[in-house]
Amino acid sequence: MNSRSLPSAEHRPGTTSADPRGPSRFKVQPDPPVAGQPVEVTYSGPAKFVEYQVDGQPAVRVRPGADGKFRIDPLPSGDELMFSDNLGIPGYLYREIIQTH
Amino acid sequence: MLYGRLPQLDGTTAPPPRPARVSRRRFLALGLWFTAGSTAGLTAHGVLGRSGEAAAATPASAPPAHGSLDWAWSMLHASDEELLQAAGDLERVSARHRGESELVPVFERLLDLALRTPGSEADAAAACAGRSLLRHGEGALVIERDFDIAARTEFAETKRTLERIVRRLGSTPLHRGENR
Repeated sequence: MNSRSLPSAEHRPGTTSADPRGPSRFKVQPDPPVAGQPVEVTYSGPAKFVEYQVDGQPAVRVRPGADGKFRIDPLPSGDELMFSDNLGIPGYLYREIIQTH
Repeated sequence: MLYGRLPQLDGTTAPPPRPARVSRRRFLALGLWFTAGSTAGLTAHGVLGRSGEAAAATPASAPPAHGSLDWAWSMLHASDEELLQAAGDLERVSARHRGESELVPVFERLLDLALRTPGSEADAAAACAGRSLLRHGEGALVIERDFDIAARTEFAETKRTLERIVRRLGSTPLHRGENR
């Protein structure tokens, strides 16, 4: 785990994890993610493949690019977005999805 | 003796023909080989007990796939460190199997463990457990057991998760906790 300091999630509505736990291997933009809009994800970890899951839907397996980035376009509607590299809690990120309607 | 010397046409005696038999040592070796082979084969096919390397190589005794429901159940008996590190993936299982009440003990153990463990990873794990218990209809259990503990710690994510649970369930437990 690296020592990047991320801004606190306290003032971001819909954000319930990641920053207070220390740096996550995942970063999402926008943060929090918005349903129906594209999400840019940056992964900085050792896994070749990572997964994301919206609510109880089946996990989607993704191979990040050389720069660690991948895009979810558009983000499906749902309440929760979870990322995992299956390599422990630092490789996990949970976000509530902002609904536009 | 079974094979005595037989009279020959010339009046002499000749040694009896050598019987076609397997030596005692070879017989024992063949028996051991057959027994070992049969046992291994039957074990590998699940006829006999499932001990040994042959049984370990069969699918029935293979560990459950990471992220599966069986894997989540197996985490009840995992080591503390393994359970903490699996918190996120356990939460993903809980989202896929909402209402699977058999998973509740796993998340109870995870919550208890995380709340008595220092560090930001334990905070994240506790939040995973709290959210998962809420999915399984056990939000009140989280508040009853752990609100006071979390309120005294630096577990910011856990606090927010609990506040979310309280908002979902009503404000009474939160106020009771704050007034202590």
